[in-house]
Amino acid sequence: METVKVIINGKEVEAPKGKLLLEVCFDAGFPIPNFCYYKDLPPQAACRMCLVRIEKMGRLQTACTMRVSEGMVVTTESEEIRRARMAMVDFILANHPLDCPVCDKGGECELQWMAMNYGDLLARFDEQKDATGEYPLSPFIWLDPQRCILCYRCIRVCDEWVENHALGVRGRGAHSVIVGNRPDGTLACEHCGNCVEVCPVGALTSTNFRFRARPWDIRDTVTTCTYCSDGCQLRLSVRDGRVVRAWAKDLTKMDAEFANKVLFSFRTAPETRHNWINEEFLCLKGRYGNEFVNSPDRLRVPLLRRNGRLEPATWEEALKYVAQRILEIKRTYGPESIACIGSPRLTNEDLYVLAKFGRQVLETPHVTHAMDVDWRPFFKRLTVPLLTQPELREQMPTILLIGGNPPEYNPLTAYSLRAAVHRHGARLYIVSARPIGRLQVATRFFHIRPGSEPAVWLALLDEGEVERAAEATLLTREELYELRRFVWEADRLALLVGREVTGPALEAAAVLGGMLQAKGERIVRVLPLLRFNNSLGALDMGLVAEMLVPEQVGPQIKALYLMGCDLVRFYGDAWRQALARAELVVAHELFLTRTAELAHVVLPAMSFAELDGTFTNNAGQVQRIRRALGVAGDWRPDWMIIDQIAAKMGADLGCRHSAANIFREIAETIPGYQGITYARLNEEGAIQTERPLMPLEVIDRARLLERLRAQVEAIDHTAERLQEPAPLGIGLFEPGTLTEHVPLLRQAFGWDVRESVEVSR
Amino acid sequence: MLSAGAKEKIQRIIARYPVKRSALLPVLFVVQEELGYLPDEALHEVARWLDLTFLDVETVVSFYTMFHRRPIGRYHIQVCRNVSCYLCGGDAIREHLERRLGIRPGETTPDGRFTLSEVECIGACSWAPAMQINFTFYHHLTPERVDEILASLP
Repeated sequence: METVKVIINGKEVEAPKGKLLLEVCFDAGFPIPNFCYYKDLPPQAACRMCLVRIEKMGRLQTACTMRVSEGMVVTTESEEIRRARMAMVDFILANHPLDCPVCDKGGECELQWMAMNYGDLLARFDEQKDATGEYPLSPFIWLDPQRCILCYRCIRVCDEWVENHALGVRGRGAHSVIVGNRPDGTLACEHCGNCVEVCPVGALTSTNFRFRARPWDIRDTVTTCTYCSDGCQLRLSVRDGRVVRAWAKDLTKMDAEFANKVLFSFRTAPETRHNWINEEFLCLKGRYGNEFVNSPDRLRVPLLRRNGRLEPATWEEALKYVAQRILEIKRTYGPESIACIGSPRLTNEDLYVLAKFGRQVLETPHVTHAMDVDWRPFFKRLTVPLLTQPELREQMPTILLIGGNPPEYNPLTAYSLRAAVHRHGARLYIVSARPIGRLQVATRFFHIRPGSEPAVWLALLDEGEVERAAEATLLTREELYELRRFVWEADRLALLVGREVTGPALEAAAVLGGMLQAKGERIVRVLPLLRFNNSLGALDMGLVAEMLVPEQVGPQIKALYLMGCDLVRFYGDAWRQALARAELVVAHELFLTRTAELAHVVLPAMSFAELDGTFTNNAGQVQRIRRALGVAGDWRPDWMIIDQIAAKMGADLGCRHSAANIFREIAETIPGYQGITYARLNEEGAIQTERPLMPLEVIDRARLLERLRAQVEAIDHTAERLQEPAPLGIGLFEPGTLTEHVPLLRQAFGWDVRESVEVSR
Repeated sequence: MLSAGAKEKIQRIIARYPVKRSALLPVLFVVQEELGYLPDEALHEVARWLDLTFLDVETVVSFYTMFHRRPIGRYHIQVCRNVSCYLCGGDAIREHLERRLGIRPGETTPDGRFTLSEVECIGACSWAPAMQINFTFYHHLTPERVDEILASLP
């Protein structure tokens, strides 16, 4: 990269040619005040706060739009600049209320900080301010137009990060107002709240957080999101034992003094890094979906079925009952009559202890978890490493997405895809049976017949199959050849595999990377778009037995040990009868779910906000979750419950009372987790596990092609392409076992919980 | 909504630009010329032609004083109120118009003949005070000259 030498305040600095002056100054230790600048967003130069003097240039220049060139001599602090900034603050405050004590942003407001540091405390404007009221733009987002300083951050974020294009500015000059995309000015969007996150002032606020806490009476904990498999990091703000918000702002990017003095001073641990895989992005669920932990419906004490009804019991009673019944059933029917089913939402620690309990104490082969797609063949035949989000954003010039709907089910992946295009012009090819909204940045879109994804993989693997694939997919041969060239000629290729890809096609997705790499010097990474936050962790922890079918319960399976999985909701009503046939159903739960209602023992577990532990995301990265909340109910971590039951059965699972101890054992025994510790996770953020890769020679490719061909033959060749894009919010707005307990989401989307029959969580 | 002629004109304008959205302002002028103002349906239509969102179009329209979201009078009188005109008696011209027409800025005469607006600089500082009626400039104004101009309108 070509570098240039510039002199900033007398200090010689070397910087990449063309980098923004503001960023060069920041890196050189001369932060420049600004509002409208935002890293990675297109420069706006709206606020004019970042004025600097550049020699040989007539006027003061905006550092946020100026690109450095050789020999530039810059002054960032002088009397002239001080006065200019003071005037800008005065100007910005001309119509801004000076009532910080009643503003929701007070205490963490960038304008407040700028006014105190760069402003003149005597305003020169004495005209009447143009007072307007605040109003909601959506059930989640409020606007106070008078506080808006028109930095356009929200608009740019909406365009670039989420491609909703839902915000704009109506009017001109002093009368400009931020408006939403409905004719009445409200918002029709996915309500991700990223606009609220980047707002430097109190103009945009979140319904759930506004006026509920002050920055100095909340405590923040950095943890991992509990929804999709992308694994965003987020900061949970807790006040009085309740989660009041989730946010992801990169505090290290801000004026260091502001961050240290204002933003860090009340928080538990100063964050000196922000190496989050999601940068500053969160989706609707990550931001607004966490308040289920505060729900009054949470189970607070163990429940035991007595005379046909679930009644409160003590832990001692409940645990003793479970231990006794399990021993009886094991003795009567044999160990194979007991099944352990975990949830892909739980921590690695919980799942590991469940697996160990199942294998060593119960001695049953039925140790598994609730899966929506069987990804086991994919991970078994993986030939290239998994793709992380930062790699996707920064290092992959060629990206192919087959199946899936990232904006709905893996919002961070969608963000990273857009970033890859915006930041370095990556070429993004999408193959999908449905048009995908909010990925218009794609270079090419290949519209295929629904269900014909396997045929695309077949054509990619074997040139000789293009004809067959064309017939199955409704693509032309030329289009399939184009896809083949795209993949086979790429130097660095990212393959994204959606959940529509199943069976042999999934194996093909795992194998193609290896085939490409064997062909020549190139890098291929693959990203499976798994469903849940710890789907991969559940596989890694060994919950890999075949999932039961309800018919097995009764004749074969007598006892079900369910950890956080609502089988009735997830797999349907057939499980109701199955549960009734079982002699013992034990359920660890947060809520009295449809499954828990039918259990014999319900044990109240801790939520992700109350636990220490780890999740493994779809890139195989292990990340910490951290305890953010104190104890508000008589609940226990899942692993601890099992440990105590095992103890009552005379076994020691070696948990030794801490998740950290369990993770130490995981690191010793689970392949790929070696060397990972909580200490390292705290230091490094996400650590990618090293997955065992299958050498290409071992794979019987002829046999795989044969099975893939059979899969392609089975495609319904009469189905038509789906013309309508999936409706906005099909994944994000659907109620699940957790989200239905979030009052804001229920209200906003009008969910009637009991009526809902969606097969989802 | 639009005549065939206008539609053809719009297609020609769109074809002039390498990027469709560049055609937004000229297209809006054609639509306004045809309909007299820019109703919501027209903005939706324009958005469709140019692969934009309604919001894109609407925010652009709201920025310019020369676009109208509601029907206006046959003659749109725009009096400059910026510095040069103000110093040369622009406010007296505005007051005269208000008296003469019996309306305030932003209003339309009951017969639908005149709409009065105050606007920022119309680029006629050296001939201040100035006003613009539809797309014609009138400058070096005095109350008498304003009366003459109004009387001369068909």
